[in-house]
Amino acid sequence: METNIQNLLNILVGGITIWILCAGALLCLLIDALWPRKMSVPVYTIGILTLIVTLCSAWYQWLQPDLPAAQDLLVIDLHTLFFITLVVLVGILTILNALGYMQLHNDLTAEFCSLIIFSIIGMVFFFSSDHLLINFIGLETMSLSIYVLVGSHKKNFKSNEAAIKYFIIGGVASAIFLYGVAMFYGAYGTLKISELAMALPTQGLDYLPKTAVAFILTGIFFKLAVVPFHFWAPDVYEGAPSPVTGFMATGVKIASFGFAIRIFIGINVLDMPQIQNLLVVVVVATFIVGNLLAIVQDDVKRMLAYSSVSHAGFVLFGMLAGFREGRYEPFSSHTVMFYLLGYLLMTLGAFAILSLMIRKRSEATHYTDLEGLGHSKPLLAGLFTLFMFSMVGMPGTVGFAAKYSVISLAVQNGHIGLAILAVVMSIVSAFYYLRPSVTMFFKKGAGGCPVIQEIPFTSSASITFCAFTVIYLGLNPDAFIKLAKIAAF
Amino acid sequence: MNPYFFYAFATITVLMVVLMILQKNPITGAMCLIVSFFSLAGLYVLLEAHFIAVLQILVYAGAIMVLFIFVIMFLNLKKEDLKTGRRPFYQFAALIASGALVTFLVVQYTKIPPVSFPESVAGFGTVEAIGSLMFSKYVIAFEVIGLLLLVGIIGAVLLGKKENHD
Amino acid sequence: MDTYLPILIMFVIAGGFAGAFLLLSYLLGPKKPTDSKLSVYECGLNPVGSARERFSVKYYLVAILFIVFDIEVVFMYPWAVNYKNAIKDGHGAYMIAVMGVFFVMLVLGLFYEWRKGAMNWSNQA
Repeated sequence: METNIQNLLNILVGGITIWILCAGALLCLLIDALWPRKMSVPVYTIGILTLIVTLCSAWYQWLQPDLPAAQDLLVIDLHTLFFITLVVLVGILTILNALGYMQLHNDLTAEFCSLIIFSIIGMVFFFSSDHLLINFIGLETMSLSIYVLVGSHKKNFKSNEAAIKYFIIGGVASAIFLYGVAMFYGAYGTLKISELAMALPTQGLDYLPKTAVAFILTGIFFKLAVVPFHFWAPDVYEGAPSPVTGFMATGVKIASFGFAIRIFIGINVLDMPQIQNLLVVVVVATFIVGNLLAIVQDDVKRMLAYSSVSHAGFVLFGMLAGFREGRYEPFSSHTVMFYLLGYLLMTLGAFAILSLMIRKRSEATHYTDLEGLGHSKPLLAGLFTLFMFSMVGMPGTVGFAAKYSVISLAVQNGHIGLAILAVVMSIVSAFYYLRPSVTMFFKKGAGGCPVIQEIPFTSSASITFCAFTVIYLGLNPDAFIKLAKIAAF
Repeated sequence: MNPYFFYAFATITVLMVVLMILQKNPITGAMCLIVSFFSLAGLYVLLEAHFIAVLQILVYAGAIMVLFIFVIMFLNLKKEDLKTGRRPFYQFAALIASGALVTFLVVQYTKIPPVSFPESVAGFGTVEAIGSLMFSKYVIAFEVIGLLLLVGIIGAVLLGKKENHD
Repeated sequence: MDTYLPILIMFVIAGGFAGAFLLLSYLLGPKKPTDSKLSVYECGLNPVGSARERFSVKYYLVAILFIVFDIEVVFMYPWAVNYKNAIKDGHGAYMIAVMGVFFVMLVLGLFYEWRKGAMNWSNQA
């Protein structure tokens, strides 16, 4: 029992970054409960402040020379701190977007803020634990909050449909994930990743761990929406409120990759030849299907859904690129981490602008709704074009730096075929990424009424931040790649 | 433990779940599900997980089943509401896919080398044993589950409550 | 295996009683059916429409919230069982603190639900 208290104290001190988040979420909820529907703006302020304090705490821990000793259930290492930084950044930008979005829709619900923070807490537990049980509880906390967020437009039929679809698909994904975890337990009698790593034989792996890995991968693939498991993404992304879509497209994927890196490099399953083949198939399918189907969409949110599918494929390709002659090169996950940083900035910037698209009190994200925006709001249309250019991978933007680092790693390690496919598909992606901009600037609006009246302060703050960082990181990526290298496995 | 009990309970569980899927009447399907929950509890007892077995009956067969029946009664589907638009191709494809998966898993499981688990210590699976682990080693998991349930409450209130702007 | 025997016997006896009395009343009861006896009895009224009426969704919210609190109680039960031993070992304060955090979250949820009017029956209709 004495050790329990010591253990608890260690966790309390070591995981201070996470406890700040929890306290902030509970405080937001308490204030909302004390003064229902009156204190929305203060609640959002507290939410953003919580996230900023969390960010500072994570940086403070990052700079500490010795991190708290590795715990069983909660591992605070540089990998965790890097991913905490990413998801908290996602949270801040999403809350800023949501504030603007909700002011325009005249529907400021304070629960939104606490749910976002709760789901960030879930994400943190998802990727920061060494114990598959906690990973799973984190995954569920993250997913449950997001199911609610997706359906938070109660009067919108599409939002309801999206919530139900996401809930059912997510439930199936969790079940498959859990089945894989159970197989690991059945084979080795432990759920700790570090103990599994020691228990797994290095040569001639038997079938059960491979099957377990395939099941866990399937569960994560559902969350990442890579190709055989992507079919839900366009409907759900279209139906969810725009800030939530941005949150799903970035936060969930970042957290899932954080977990994927931890488990698959932690127990070295990526060295299994079958799993490598599986990854190659998934990456190729995702590149082709994601990019080609994005071309035929006529709604910007649906297009961005397929774009996020293809970006997830790119990140998986980044993990695959770490292989050299069948072995995983240590410390090469930094390309993935840098890619995720760039991806979150350009995606959230684009969704910040999409959140402002509103006509007759409902979202207007069809391509025809963009017509004439280049003339009524040239700056906004220009920034949207910037984010799209970054997604294509135009030099000078973060998208280029991210894609370049992944492709150069792949070429170094001899994945020439996949690298060529990636480049070709990036060129193909220019078709659909530039279509909104062409519509904005070269088509006269037939409807006449401008879609965007005034831009709330919070939205312009997040758009400015994203645009600035997209260019800044595009011009000086090295410092941040170095940062990711320190934290890489 | 006698393997016959295991096979009996396992057969009942699987049979009842299959029956549930094949039922036309949703209430009958729910009843089949209850029986399968009970025999699943029997399986937990065979594994000496007594507390889990009791929870399986209390929470699943008791509380969650009530929700199932509630939903069936809310929707209150009449026979004419249920479209009989069968799509034989999809059914066929689903049958083949699930059959292949089952065959694959069965083949995998036969190839597993026997894993020796340590004999369960006296008092394993009792409320006390679970509690002493839950509040010492896994206290983080316990607290995070509290958070998860809180999210559940928020979700239920946010989505389930009718808006009345008064 | 012997320890489960009483449970098995209990199940058998309970099931046997239920079945036996159904069977007995079926076998022993006098059967003199008439038209009015066979008609559905509904408090003296003629039954109108189906017995399966669609009913209000607000029951469902209550049921869901019940389940959430039901599961929270499930977590408290092992705590209560272990509390005595913890006091003996001198760790009562630790146990109180651990459950306190959990309990605060539960009560916060209850408070939230209360203030949001999720339990107001009349206003909701």
